[in-house]
This record gives sequence, structure tokens and C-alpha cells, in this order.
Amino acid sequence: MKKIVFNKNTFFLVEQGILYWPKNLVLVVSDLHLEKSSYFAKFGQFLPPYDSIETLNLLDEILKQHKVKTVILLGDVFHDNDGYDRLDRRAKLIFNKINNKYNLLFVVGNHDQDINIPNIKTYEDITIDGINFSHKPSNLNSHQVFGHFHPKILLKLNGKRIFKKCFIVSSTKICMPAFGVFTGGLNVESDIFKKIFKQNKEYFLIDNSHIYQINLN
Amino acid sequence: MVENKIISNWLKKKNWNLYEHQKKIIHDISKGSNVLLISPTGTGKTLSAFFPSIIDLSNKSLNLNILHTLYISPLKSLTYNIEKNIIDTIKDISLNISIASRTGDTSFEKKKKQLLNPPNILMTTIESFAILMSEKNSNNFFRNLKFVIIDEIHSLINTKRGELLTLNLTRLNNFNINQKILLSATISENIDSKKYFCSENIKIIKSNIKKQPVIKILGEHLNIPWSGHNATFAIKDIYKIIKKNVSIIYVNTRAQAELLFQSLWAFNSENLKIALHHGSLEKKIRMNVESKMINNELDCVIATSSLELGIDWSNIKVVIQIGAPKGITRLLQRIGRSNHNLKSNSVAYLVPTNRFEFLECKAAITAIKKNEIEEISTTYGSMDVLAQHIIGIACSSEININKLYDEILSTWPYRKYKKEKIQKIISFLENGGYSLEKYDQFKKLKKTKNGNYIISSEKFIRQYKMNVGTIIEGQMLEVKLRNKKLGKIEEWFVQKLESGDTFIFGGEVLKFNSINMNIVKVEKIKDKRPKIPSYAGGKMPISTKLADKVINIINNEKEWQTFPKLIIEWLKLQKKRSKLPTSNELLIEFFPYKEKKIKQYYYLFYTFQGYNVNNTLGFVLSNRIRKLGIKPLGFVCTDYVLAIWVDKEIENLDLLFELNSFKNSINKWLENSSLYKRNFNKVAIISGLINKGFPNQPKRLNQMSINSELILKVLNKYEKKHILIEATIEESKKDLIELNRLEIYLKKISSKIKLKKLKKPSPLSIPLMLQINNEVFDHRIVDEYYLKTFENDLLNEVGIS
Repeated sequence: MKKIVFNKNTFFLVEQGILYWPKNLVLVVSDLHLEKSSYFAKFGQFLPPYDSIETLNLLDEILKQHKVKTVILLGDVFHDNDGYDRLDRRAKLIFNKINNKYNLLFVVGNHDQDINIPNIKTYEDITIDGINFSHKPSNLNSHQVFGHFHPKILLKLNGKRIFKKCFIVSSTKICMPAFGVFTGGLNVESDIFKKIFKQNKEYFLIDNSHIYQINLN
Repeated sequence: MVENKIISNWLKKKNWNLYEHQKKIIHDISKGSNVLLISPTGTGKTLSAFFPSIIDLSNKSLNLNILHTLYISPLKSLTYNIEKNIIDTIKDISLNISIASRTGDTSFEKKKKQLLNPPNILMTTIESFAILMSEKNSNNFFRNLKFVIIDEIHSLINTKRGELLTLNLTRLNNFNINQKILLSATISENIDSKKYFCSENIKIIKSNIKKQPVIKILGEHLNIPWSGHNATFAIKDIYKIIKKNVSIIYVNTRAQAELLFQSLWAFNSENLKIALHHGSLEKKIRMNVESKMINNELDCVIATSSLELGIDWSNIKVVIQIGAPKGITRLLQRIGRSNHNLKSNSVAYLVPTNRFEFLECKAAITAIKKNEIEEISTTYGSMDVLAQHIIGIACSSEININKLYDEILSTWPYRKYKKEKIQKIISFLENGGYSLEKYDQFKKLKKTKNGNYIISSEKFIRQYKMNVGTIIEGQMLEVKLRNKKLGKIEEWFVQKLESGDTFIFGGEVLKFNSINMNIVKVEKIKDKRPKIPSYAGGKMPISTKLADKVINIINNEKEWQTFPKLIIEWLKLQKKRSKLPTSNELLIEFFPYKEKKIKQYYYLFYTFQGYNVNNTLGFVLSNRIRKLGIKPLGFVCTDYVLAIWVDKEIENLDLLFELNSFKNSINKWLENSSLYKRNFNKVAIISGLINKGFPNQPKRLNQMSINSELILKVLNKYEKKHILIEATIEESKKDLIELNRLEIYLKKISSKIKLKKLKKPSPLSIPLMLQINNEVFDHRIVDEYYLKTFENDLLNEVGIS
């Protein structure tokens, strides 16, 4: 875990790619893309139908390791608006268990904008203690935490290429890595990030067991 | 001999006599045989394959909209070339025969028209043929087909493209009776090469024209480098030859092509027109080079295997091969590009870029003189290709499962397939074949009432047509200079570049500006020290036959007489200080070598089994060494030798070569290798798990596309026995690791290990010792000991100055 201070609050960046806020007992996780496999199956691409169960199991494990009251799902929780209906029985059980146990705040993303799940309220964005949580960055002047871009960092060490998920952190913005097991990534050196992060930024590479602060310059 | 009046009159008018093999082909085909014609380039091979069709068509005066002859070539450009030649010939004879080509470039409208009104002679490629076979009325389309001509078959056997073709040919045989005419310039005459594309009897016709090529080694009088792959030491000699003769220079890798192109232009005092041709360059640019070649506007082309096949460029006088020939057949094929006519012999120069390559060049020349070439033995057909093919059939008609079994089992590479395996592939195609049956509602193949399979939706037919084919490129990005496309470059190379970096591509020095989506934006610039992209893959191992020949000449001192002095001295010194490697035992050299005052122990294994085998052996031996409590610090290999260096002496070397557990060790490292991941990616795409494209689907951002590595991880965890995992293991064992070759070799030498303990590096070890920091086994370990070897230090140590 890496401790950071963001809008005068202490946060932890956790190696599995989640953000933990001890003061409010909030855990933030972004871009689960549940049921990406069955979405592809519609097009005859029969990806292994085990991605949702794997992703939810991982999340369940992490939740057990922290003291959490509120879980913010930061958009693109499902790969499409019908995703929830396609969850198989086991995966649905875990999803509902998490929903019952915690105060689940379901922020929608571009993939699940119009999703409709029984007993679940969805939000466009949420603001807690002056920090705005939304799927995509906005023009607001407040501090922002968002996902959407699936940032990954490319390093070359001793001739070996390493391309890993990462957080991007500046004094006013945090971009979350994608959590889902079937999510790919976008190189942090892409032009898109230059437009969003104009001021100084830091990268935190995650590889499940460790988190490393990387300086690209 | 030719009973057809029109043809015999035409021949008379031209004052042409048919060659013996041309007469034979006309005769044998008229008797109903299938034919394999083996004849050197420039002996009218392709034209003679069309004679039977032309004769038959002129006798019949067939309706112009009935398909009579199908010509299939491995290359689009070859298809156009042949189309033009045959059209010219038919005009010249003034026959009324319709001819057309059909490739990936043919317009949609034209293709549609061809389906209704096919030409008499259709020229096509393997992929376009597969798509034709997947049409709903394909049996009707081909019903009058009489001849199938397949060109350059040696380049297709044992490839996934070849497998796709064999499957479609078997299906075609069920539509009607057709005769096959197979063509090759150089192929061995064994059962596999005969049966691969033609399960019935086939007659081999061999032309009696002997084109014994004249092959010389260039740069013999110079100081051939100890190691590396750079031909600059011989640049003067190369330039002298291309100044006098129109030539093709073949290289083994694209990086080598770019490098040589730079050095030749830097040396080009006479402003010769030198061009570059390799697979990463934009199609338009390549076609431009090809047409300039045909129009005689160039002095020299530097090319990779992208220019190996049959385009007729009759003005080529000389072929220069840079680097190791790798195979005898391969070298012959390349040499055959020169003097594309019968009047004179092919002339070729070989430029060895290091000392082992000199031996390989010599061995290849000896083999060619003795007319010895590699035998073909076919590999087991790939599951992913079969999966793609079955969808192709389903696009065209209902599949009866028993008929399908028969069809598959009568296809040569698939003749040993088990029915259960085919059934597994079908359930994969139905709905993924997972034990968790979640995708029933999305089935791609549906069962009909009578138990046959049909495709469940028209959209899968469109999808099949968009994704047909078996060639999978790595993640490539487009290089663009303003609005001009220059070609494609490996993504990982681009990722290393920073804005402002320069690199060589297509012979130009370019400055990297930015990358947007999949486009790399560049501008031209002058810079003396640009980077050179290296490309993944392209490591072709030496053939077993050629490797044997290399060992033979090392052990035959009589042959040395023709070697340059420095090579003779090298070998003599090796004999004196250590031992010459032979083929019936494994020579292992051992010596300590100090680097930065740290003592390390080197083991060199002179296997001569090719890069892939040595690489696998390196991984397995390193793991075993670790189990003995010794730290392997790294290994490096070439086609000939494997070197492993460790921190302690190994007491019992025989333990390393215990055969029993070898297979297990190999399987274990295989699953973690990048090769395995690459093969899974290929299998996933070819079998249709991942699509290259889908109709009406918007182009997605990079982060949205599905990554095969993630799929593999989940599949490995939840369903390890899935058919795609099985296919990946098969592919990995088959094409790249050459496991069989390794196993056969280990059996042969396991009790015949010859250890030579030395005090310092042997002469034969120098090339490898110099290369040692190119590849490392475990980066974390090696960091501590990082090696930087300098040629002079080493040579002093060995005692060679």
C-alpha cells in the first residue's frame, strides 16, 4: 500500500488496484467490466465465461482485508446495460452479498449508462468531503477521482518489457486503474492523458503484490 | 506430340519446341493423371501447367461463363503476374477463353459478378479460394471444374495456409472430379510432398534440364568477423558486383535489410538505383519496387523472403545471399531468382557474416553440387485451422457429421485425427465448448432436426469472410509521413521511442513525432545515428540436413584446402587446444572465465541442432542445474552451440541428461514461456475466439480490445483442459520448439557425452563468447554479474591475435 494525501485527506493506493479512504471507510474500485465475456459471446467470440466470478471473487477478498463501510463502484461495472441479467448464479450471489453487506454506491459509466438492477440505485457522480467521484473526468473545479481510461505504464528493464496497470495521481486528480480481469489498458504516454493531467503527476504501478512509484522523466 | 492443331500451329509460328517435361505434362494429363512437376525456375513451368487447360478449352469451345481451371498461388502479386502472362499467351494464339483473377484486392462488385459468371480460368489465392468455397452455391460454382493448378507448393507444405488449402481441396473433390497439377522448382520426391495436396495417385514429372548454379563465397580474402550478422566488412566487394550486374541481395531479417540498405547507399558513388523490399513496408511501396524491377528500372534490390517466390524478373543476373543460408532448398530457391531463363546458369554469391556462417555456406555449396536437398515430412494438422474451416463449410451448407469425419480424415495432414478431437472442435464452435454451459443462447452452430449442423446467423457468415486466413501479425502500428502510409512497425518498438527519436524505416531516416490511436506520425530528417527497429520472430533455424553437412566438413580436413587461411587456422587451433565436434557424440567444453574479477564457469554444448532446439535445451538445462544447487547465471545460443555459465563447477554432467524427466521439465517451462502466449494468441484468432474484425462494429480504443494473455490466464485457472489450451500446447511443441528434434537428438547422444575440460576459452567458443550479453536467462541474477566482453581481451586470453 502507498499512502498519499489528496485534498488534505489520507488515502491508500492498494496493490490490487483499489483506493482506500480510512477516514470515511470508503473503498473505490473502477472498471469491473463484468460480463465482458458474454457480451463478446453474442458476436460468436466465446471467451471463457469465468471473468465475472473471478473479478468478483477478487473484490470480495480485498473487501475482507480492509475495514469498509462504503464501496464506490466507479463506472463500467458491467460491460453493457444487460450485463447484470447474464451473471450466472454464483456470481450473482457474490454481487448481492457485497450489496447487502456494504453501502454500495453504483456510479454508472459509458458502458452501463442505462443499467437497471433491482434494489440498486445508480449515480452519475458522487461528492464526499469535497471530492468528486465520477467515471470520467469533468470540468468541475473540485478534486476528482475517476476511471474510464484503464491506464497502464510501459517500462523496459534489462531488455524486458513490462506493461502494467497503474494509478495516475496529481494534486487534484486521481485516475484509477481498471479492476476487471478482462480489461486491457491504455499507455499513460498517450496524448489523451496529456490533456487531462496538465500539472505534475505521479505514476503508481501495481502488480498485485507490490506497488511502485514510477518517475517517467 | 501436341495433337491440338491450334496449339501446334502457334508453336510452329513462334518457332518454339516444347521441352520434354512440357510434352510429358500434356500427355499425362490427357491420360487423366494428376501431376507434380518439378522443374527449375525459367523452364516454362507455369506455362506448361496451363497447356492442358488451353488445349482442352480450345477443343471444346466452352461457354465463356463456365469455370474450367483454377490456379492457386501463395502470393497475390504472383497471381497478377501469371494472369497477365496467360492473357498475353491466349491473345497471341487468338483463342476465345475468359480469364480473371480474384484476390483480397478484387472489388466487391467484381467478385459478385464472378459468382454469377465465372471465367474459364480463375487465378486466386488460398484465402480467396477458401471464401469461394464458403459461398452458398460453391458446389454449383465449381461443378465443371477440370483442372486445379497449385504453384510453389514447397512454400505451402507444413504451413497453416497449406493446411487450409488441403482441407478445401478435399471438399472440392467431393463436388466433382478434377485433376491436380502441382508445381515446384525444388522439392524432395517423397510420399509427403506427393500426398500433401493430392490424396490420389500422382505422377512426378522432373524436367531433365540441369541448371547447375555457379555459387561463390564473397569476402573470403577479408577478415570474416568472429560474430554478429553484419556484412559491412564486405561492402566493397558487394558493391563491385552490383555495379556490374543487375542483382537481388537476400538477407535473413528485416533489420539486416535496413542496415545493409543504409551502408550501400553511403557507399553508392555511382548512384546506382538500389531499392528495398521487405514485409513491413506498405503494399504500394512494395508493388512500386516490384513493377520497377519488371520494367528494368533498378540496379539492385535488397530483399527478405518477401521476394522469394516466382515473380518473373528475367533481367536479374546475380543473386547475393547475406548471412547463413539456413537450408539447402531455401538457398536454391533464392538462387533460382537469377537468370530466369535457360540460356545460362544461375550465378550467386554468398556472404558469410561470421565464421560459423562461412562453414554453413561451404556446406550448402557442397550439398547443392551433390544434388542433396531436405526431405519434407509433414506435421500434424493444426486444430485452429480445422476450426476455421468447419465454420467455412457451415457458411456454405449443412454439415453432416459423418461426411465431415470422412472428409477430414482423407486430408493428408489430418489423416490421423481422432473423431473425439473433431467433436471437441465442433462443440467449441457451437458455443465455446466450456463445461459451464452459459452460451447456449449465442450458439454459432445449430443442430437441425436430422442432426446436421448449420450456421445460426448470417452475421457469422460475414464475420467468417472478414476473418478468413491463418497469417497473424503481431500488434503492428501504421507509420505515416504526413498522409503517406510507409508501412507497419511493431508496437513494442514504437513504445520505446520518445518524441524526437530517430529511426530507420524503409530506407529513410525518420523522426518520431507522436502516436495517435494506431498511427505513428513521423517526419523525414537527417541523422547519422538513428535506431534500427528489430522485428519479432524471423529466427529461422538451420535445417537438420544442412547442420549435419556443417559437422561433416568440419571433420573432413580435405575440404579445408579450399578454405581461407584464417578459417583453417581457427579449426586447426581448435583441434589442438580442444576437439572438433562430431555428429555421433556431444562435445561439451568447460572452462573458467573471469569477468570483473568474478570467476564463472562456462559450459559449451556443440549440438548443431538449430537455434530453437538449443534454446529449449538451454532453458531445461538451466533449471536442472539450479536443482543441483548451482546458480545458472545465463545462457546464450546460436544454431550450432549453446553456452551456459554458472557459479560453480558441475560435478556430474550426466545427471543433466537423464532422459526420463526431460519431457516433464519441458512442459513446465513451456507453460511460462512467451512462445506459449504467442501461440495461444494465434490459436485464439485463427479458431475465431478473437476476431480481427467484425462487420458494423466500430473501431475500438486500444484499452477496449480483448487481450489474449488475459483470456489465457482465466482459462488456465478455470478450465485447463479446454481445447484451445490443447491446441496451444500442440502448436508450441510443433513449430517453434521442435521438440521431436530435441528428443531424437537427446536419445542419440545421452550416453555419448564428451567433456573437454579447458583452462581457457577454446577457439570455437569465441563467436559465442562475444555474443554472450545479447540474451540473458534471468535478469535479476545476471545484473549482479553483468558481462561485457571485449573481442580483444578474449582473443588475447585464447591466444589468437
